[in-house]
Amino acid sequence: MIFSPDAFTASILTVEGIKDASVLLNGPTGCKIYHSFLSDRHFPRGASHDPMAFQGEFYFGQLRVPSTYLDWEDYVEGSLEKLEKLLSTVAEKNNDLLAVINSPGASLIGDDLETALKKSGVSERCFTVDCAGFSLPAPIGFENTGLALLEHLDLKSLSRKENRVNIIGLSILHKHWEGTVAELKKLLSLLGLEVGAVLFADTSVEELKNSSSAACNIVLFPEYGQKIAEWYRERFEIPSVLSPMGVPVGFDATEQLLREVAKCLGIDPSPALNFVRAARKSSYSKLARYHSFSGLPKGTSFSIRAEASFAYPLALWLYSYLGMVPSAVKTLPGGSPKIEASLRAFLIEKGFENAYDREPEYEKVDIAFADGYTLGLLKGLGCCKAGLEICTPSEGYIDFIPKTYMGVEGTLLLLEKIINGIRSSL
Amino acid sequence: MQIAFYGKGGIGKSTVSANLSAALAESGKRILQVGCDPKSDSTRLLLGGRKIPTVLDYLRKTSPDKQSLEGLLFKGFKGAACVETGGPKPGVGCAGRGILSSFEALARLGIRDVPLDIVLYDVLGDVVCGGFAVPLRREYADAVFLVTSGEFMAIYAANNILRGIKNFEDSAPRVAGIILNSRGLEAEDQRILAFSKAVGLPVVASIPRSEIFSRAEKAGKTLIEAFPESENAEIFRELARHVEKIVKDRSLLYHARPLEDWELEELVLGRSPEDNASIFMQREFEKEAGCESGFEEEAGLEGRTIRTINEPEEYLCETCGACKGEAGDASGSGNLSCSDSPRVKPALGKEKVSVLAPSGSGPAILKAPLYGCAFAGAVTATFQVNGALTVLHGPRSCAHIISDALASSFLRSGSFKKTGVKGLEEQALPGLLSVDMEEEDIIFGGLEKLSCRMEEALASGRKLLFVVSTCPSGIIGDDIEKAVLKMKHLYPKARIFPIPVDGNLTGDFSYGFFEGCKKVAELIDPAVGQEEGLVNIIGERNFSPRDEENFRIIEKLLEGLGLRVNCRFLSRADLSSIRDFKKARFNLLAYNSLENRMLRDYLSEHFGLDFFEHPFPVGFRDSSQWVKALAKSLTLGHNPGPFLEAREQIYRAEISKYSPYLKGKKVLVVSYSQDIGWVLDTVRDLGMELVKVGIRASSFGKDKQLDPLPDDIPLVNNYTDLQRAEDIKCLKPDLVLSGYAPLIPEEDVHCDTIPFSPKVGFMSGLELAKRWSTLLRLPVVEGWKYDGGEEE
Repeated sequence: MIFSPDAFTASILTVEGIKDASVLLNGPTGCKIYHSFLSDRHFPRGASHDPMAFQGEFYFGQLRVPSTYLDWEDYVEGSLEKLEKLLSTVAEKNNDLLAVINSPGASLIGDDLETALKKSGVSERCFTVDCAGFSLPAPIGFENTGLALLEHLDLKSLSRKENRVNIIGLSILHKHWEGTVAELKKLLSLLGLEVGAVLFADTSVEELKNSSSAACNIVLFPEYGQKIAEWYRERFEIPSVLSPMGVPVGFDATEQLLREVAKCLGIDPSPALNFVRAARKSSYSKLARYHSFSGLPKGTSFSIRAEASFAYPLALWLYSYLGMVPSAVKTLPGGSPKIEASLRAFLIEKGFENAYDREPEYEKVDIAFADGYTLGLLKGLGCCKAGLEICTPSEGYIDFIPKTYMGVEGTLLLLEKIINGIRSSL
Repeated sequence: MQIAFYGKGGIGKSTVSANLSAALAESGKRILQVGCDPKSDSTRLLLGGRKIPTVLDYLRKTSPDKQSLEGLLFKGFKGAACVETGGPKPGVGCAGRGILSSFEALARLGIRDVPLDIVLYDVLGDVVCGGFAVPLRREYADAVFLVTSGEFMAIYAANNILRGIKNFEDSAPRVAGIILNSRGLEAEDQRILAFSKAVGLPVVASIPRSEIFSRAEKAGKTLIEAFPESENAEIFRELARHVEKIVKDRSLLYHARPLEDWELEELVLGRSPEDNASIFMQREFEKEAGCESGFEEEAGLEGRTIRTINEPEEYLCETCGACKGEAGDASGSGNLSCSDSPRVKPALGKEKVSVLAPSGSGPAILKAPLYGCAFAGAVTATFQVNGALTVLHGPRSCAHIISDALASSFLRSGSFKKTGVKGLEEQALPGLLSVDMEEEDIIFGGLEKLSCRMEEALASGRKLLFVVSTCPSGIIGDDIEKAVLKMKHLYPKARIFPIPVDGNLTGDFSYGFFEGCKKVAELIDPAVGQEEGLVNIIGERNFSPRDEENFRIIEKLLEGLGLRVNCRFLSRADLSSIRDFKKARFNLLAYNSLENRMLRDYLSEHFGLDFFEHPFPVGFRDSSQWVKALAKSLTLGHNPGPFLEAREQIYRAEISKYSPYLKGKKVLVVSYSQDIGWVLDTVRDLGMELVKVGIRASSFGKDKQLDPLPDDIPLVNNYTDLQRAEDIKCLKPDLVLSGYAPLIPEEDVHCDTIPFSPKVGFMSGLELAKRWSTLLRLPVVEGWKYDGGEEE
């Protein structure tokens, strides 16, 4: 099913993930209204929903993603006149970095956006994405736009800060991105490391400009960050750490990532590993008590619909750590081929080859892991007893406590949700 | 250096550029020739007559991880590298997008890292759209040659190209000159001379008509290769030397100064201005604009003969003088008197009036925006037909956006439990199937893929399909009606309806919703006869969480009148209920919106239906009127009296529970819309004092036809925040009701919101009464509201 966003949406939210950057959409209101809503939902900037607060020709009552509201005439005559006016309107409002992104329709008319930037005098603080792609997966839109942004910023080579790392490949489209950033910062601080820039989630232009001073880049979602990490390696010889298991979901993957980072920087991973060890111990006693009378969670079945780099470590961990049964694992488009292959090999090796690339709605399981809408559908169809929303689009639950599914905090949250999900469905 | 060759189709651009490439390669230059014509025959003469695979073919056939520049670059005469972008078949897809995609691919694969001295772009015909203009952009073309003959249409095309170049010009000039590829016509040279003078460009080469071109072409070679000693080969060598000069000296380039159409006609066809009505208009326009700058033919250019290679000349713009030697003049562009009007005839009067600014620099006149797109509207309508599949002909982004918008209400409705999930993996939601148009479908046309998707759906047993088009498919001209017709032949029993709204090219969300409803209405069986006691519901919203609850309330009210709902048009409607639509005697409008009124008119006209105009009632008074009017309209002999009395008793009893807390309390109402009669009724029924109603200036709810509020309501239009603050201070209300709750703490007054999507029926106001009665006993400002300010 196509609940997952594509490259166009990912491209917009890449820029919108930067604190002091704004997307200007060269496109119709149909594309604008949705993406304004999405940006505001994933990275809220204003407190009120009152549309009167965001009046103005290009805003349509929404704070984010002003647009040129193209219509048929603009497709015929070109959109530059409107775009130039939009550029000067937005440029007057703040000093944000600006990105003009064409809607799929606008990308067909071949308007020379660069000339519009020049005419509006914003070339230095604005870059363009002529075409984010047609039906391409979200990671491609994220990486391509991210690279265009980095090229535009014209990063300078800076002296290396040995204790500074960047996190690459995290979008505000990812579920619980804020909590993930907090968790990674906490774990890395146990290794004596500070996080410079997070590409691209709640980071600033200044942090991005200083990102070339990092001693190492940590690639979180490989499909979202591998090319960008490669760019840093080529330009600034910054090495990158990429967990072969995908994102750090579960204790094993978390430990592996921490070891890789420590190895890359020649530092001792023990403080962070000890912290993971303590979490393992504390969860052991709870799992043991539950397991002793129920025999669970061993033998409970699960289905997953997520990005490959999340689905693989999750399936691996559910199988190996909790003894759960993979019934259906479907990955989203654009996943890392290497991780996709690892996932397939793992399921075949363990005798669950039928689970690979299987849509969750074809299996009845105890617990499903998917986006909010898929879960709603699965629950409605009776395809799962419990569900855990691990990716977007979200059903709309409003989180007050920052959460993550990664690292120690994330593993504990997963355990809590899985055990209680199974418990309540018995 | 990068050079583009433009000119009318068939004028000989490929021959000229290939011969120039050959001459440059012969002189030791590292050359790349890029053919930008879907015919992909630009480089043939450099390759011994061989056609090479195009960039677009290569991209289609080669997986991204295996693509490399080596697969696209072919070595030709004297090592000249050759590339053909390719394009779609005539009449399908988007050739402009094809050029854009090819250039992007070449850049991605590292063409800029290849050591080259000169890149030549041979571009298709005229600059018909942005895609064809890509080679004109600064990052591609440092210089542009115009290839033309002395025929009017060829010169007309050359002039158009100058317009295209002017659109892309910033400060530096880029036109390298005119290449005359002679057709041997009478007075051809004179016409070109006149044109060259008028546009201020030199004729850098004049190539006489000669049969050795066709002999060389037959051999699949350039003249340089086939007839190296010929006079014409020497012309190309001289042109090559001129190009090399330009490489070293950019002052040999000129600004683009196109003529107006009437000027061109006068100049080339010798048409008298008096013969041409458009000239009158032009002059009137000039008068309006007060444009005094005129173009006088420079005496120095009179009688100038064409040489094989013309040295660039200095042209004098009489108006400002600053344009002397425009070639290489970086300051001239953008100055209207130089670049925009030198060839505009002087106005009759001498009055000095401000001139029109060039495009983009003056105040732009902007049109009223469209809200949403017709694609989304149409899909919202067809999605409501249970068991139907709506095929979304566009890229995945469009499918994602619309499925996200529809998912919440769809999941709330649970209707998927009825329709099943067979083949769900291909669908955006059960009932939506995206064609997922990719780049190649955009370039080559997406109908083939659309047909495949439709066939898959039909082969799997689907019998009812709607096909809705998006902006990209509309822009490239995909004819979905044709594809549907073809599919109907293959599956004659299936019902397939094309809805070619083309995203927002045809209109906004409301328009699309209406178009979608019209197509669904084609399923109505006109032969079905009426049955007593049935009504249809028309135009429910399908987005609000309250939709289903409100329907149930109305259903219950109708039951009280002895009526049943036949069809919900369109809300989770079964095909059978749509087919039997005419069974119902009356049609009830759910909401009085513009699209519902359009739908009402359409259904009335096409099916001769009767409508009950009163929308779903909100509040006690409105509901009473609704029930009375409906009972009267249906002339059932049904007396609604007892039904209404029972409702009134419940309502009064409930109101009396809350009025002790609220009686005499002062209320200020601030709203975007006047559609708040039920709120005001509740205020009155509770014995509260309405101190003022402020209606804010906005477009919300303006499409509704509302009864005016009673005269005794203290109404103020265009109400502002400032007025609100003053009224709170002066009128001292106990409660302020508004569309959105204020976030800044207001110490003296309770605030609450007016429900955006109220519950329908008799008891709507009771929810408010209950809430207000407790609200006034709560703290005026909740603690959290003090936590939002800036830190001190």
